[in-house]
Amino acid sequence: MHLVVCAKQIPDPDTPPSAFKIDEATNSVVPAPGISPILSQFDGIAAEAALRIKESGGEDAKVTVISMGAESARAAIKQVLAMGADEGVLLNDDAFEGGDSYTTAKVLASAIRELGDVDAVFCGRQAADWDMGQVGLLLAEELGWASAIIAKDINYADGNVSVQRVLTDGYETVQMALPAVMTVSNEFGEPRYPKLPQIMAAAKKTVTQYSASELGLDAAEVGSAGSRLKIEKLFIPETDSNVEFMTGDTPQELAAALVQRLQADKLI
Amino acid sequence: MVDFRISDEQKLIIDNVRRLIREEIRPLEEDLDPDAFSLPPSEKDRLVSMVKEMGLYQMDVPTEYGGPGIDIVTRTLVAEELSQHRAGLYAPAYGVFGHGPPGQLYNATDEQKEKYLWPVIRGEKSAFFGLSEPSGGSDPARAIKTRGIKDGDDWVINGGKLWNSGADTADFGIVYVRTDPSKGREGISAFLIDTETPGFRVERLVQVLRAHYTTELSFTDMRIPSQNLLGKEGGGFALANEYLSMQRIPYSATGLGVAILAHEMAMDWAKQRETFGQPLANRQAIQWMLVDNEIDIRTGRWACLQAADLAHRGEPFRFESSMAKLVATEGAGRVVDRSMQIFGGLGMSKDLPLERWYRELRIRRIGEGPSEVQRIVMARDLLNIRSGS
Repeated sequence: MHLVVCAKQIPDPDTPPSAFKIDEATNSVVPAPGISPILSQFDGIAAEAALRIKESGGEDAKVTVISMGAESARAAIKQVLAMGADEGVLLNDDAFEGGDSYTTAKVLASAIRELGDVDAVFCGRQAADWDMGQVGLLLAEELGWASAIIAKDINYADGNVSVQRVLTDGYETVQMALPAVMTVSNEFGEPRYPKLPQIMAAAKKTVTQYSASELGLDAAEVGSAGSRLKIEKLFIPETDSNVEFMTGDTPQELAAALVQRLQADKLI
Repeated sequence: MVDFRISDEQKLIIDNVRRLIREEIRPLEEDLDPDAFSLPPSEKDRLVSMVKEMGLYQMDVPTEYGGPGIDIVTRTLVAEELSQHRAGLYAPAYGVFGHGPPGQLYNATDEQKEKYLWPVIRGEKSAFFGLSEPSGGSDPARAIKTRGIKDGDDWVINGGKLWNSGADTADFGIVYVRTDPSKGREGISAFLIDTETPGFRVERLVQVLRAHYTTELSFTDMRIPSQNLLGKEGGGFALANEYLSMQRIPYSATGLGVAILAHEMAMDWAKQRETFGQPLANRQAIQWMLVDNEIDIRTGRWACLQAADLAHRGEPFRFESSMAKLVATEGAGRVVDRSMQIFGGLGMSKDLPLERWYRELRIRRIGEGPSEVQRIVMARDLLNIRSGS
């Protein structure tokens, strides 16, 4: 069985607000100097899900981690390799830059097809930087596979997966035949800490690199050229706070004054 | 060529430590007393198991003694992460990464190792270190008055020690004793002394500036068998080997960890706190403080990493390790001091960890060799003056 984990490298969410900057001319986030990007936390959980299936399965299973990104994304791949994945794939090409969820899914799908024998794909429920949560579903669409998103538990048996999906008012269990794509939520549990011997072993594991042309992709259909999403404006919102005291002699009068004020500001 | 870039492996190790500090230690700390020095036992046991599972337990123990084989550069980088919480300066991660035995024990005989070194590594025994006396600590060769006189197969020891952290709970200590008053350094020997030995007494717990205490000890006619002599007679200081000098580098980097956190807190506060209609960060006085913080942190880090790099490559590093100790501890003290100034009244409050770091960092300029002694060590190297001059 061949399991694939999609891993994205993102700016560290613990970056102090004072170090977070945006380039409004290019509508992009400026990397904070001295603060290394990290593996998106949800993708670490997706890796945990794949590794648990690998470890529980009686049959031989292999986990491959794929990341689309800059050369620095090798660090995210290494982290999943150190957790116990077997091989890595870096999708690195200038043409991939500036893409959206759609082009990302397109590139990932091409890489998964290139691998050939993949049975299941595990993504985080969303990337912890943009929080869009679209790539998993779009990837399933591109591949033409079944999908189940926002999983809190995944069990594999006899070519099928049983997935518990988080809903707003509980959860549901769905069954899918493989191949399939799953996105994994934080309710699944914490990703493991890489162990020191595995960290050292990760350095020796293979990371294959693919460009757009090696995946048979035209530069015009990926990255910013193929993107269907256009960011009009990216900015850090300015926050301001004012305190206004309601006046009135009784609680009823105070409540009425508050309602009136909130209505006047169109807040209710 | 100087290259301070860290490898992927170093980054993964650092990430593990950082994650444990952020996700486990800091949340637990929120429910502890601001001056807490230890975790509830059940939490400590849980976290020790996690660290063992990660393979990072007892990082300071050499591989031949079962340690994980973390090189000194990585160990220095880890030290910077381990201290990034309230108790981090003197209780990094509350000890869940395990303590190694005192470095002198690696010079012990096989019998001594069996009785003292291995039990410490296994976590069955703990040790204290007894060097300083009321008469002084920075120049122990002259200051040590505790006297050992050979009597048959035993040594009879009389005297006392000061600043012995943990001696009240330890099973044994490494104690430096004058065995030949006619000699200077060569008249000092080290002994392994069980705390249950008749004549051993903890005179008092000495309260100090930091959120813990140390001890004063007295020795009255303690009879110590000759086989407890550590190293050669008169060779006490020869035990202060390269291993010990190397440990001073991560010790120095520990101070940088709290400085980094204090600086981050001050930066965020300066951006959000408004005075006279503008954020503090717009004021040049504050900007300069923040820039000076950054300079102190970076110079401290470079000094520590250069010392670690030289030690890792097996090159002489005594000057650099003294410089790292001096630059990092003094710089970290200034960073926390400036950060408190930026926070104003809130900086004095026990709601924030700054006041604890401020007190504890003051000790760092004296503990493990005061800044002045570090300068003496560097001057000896610089001017090629022999030790003791």
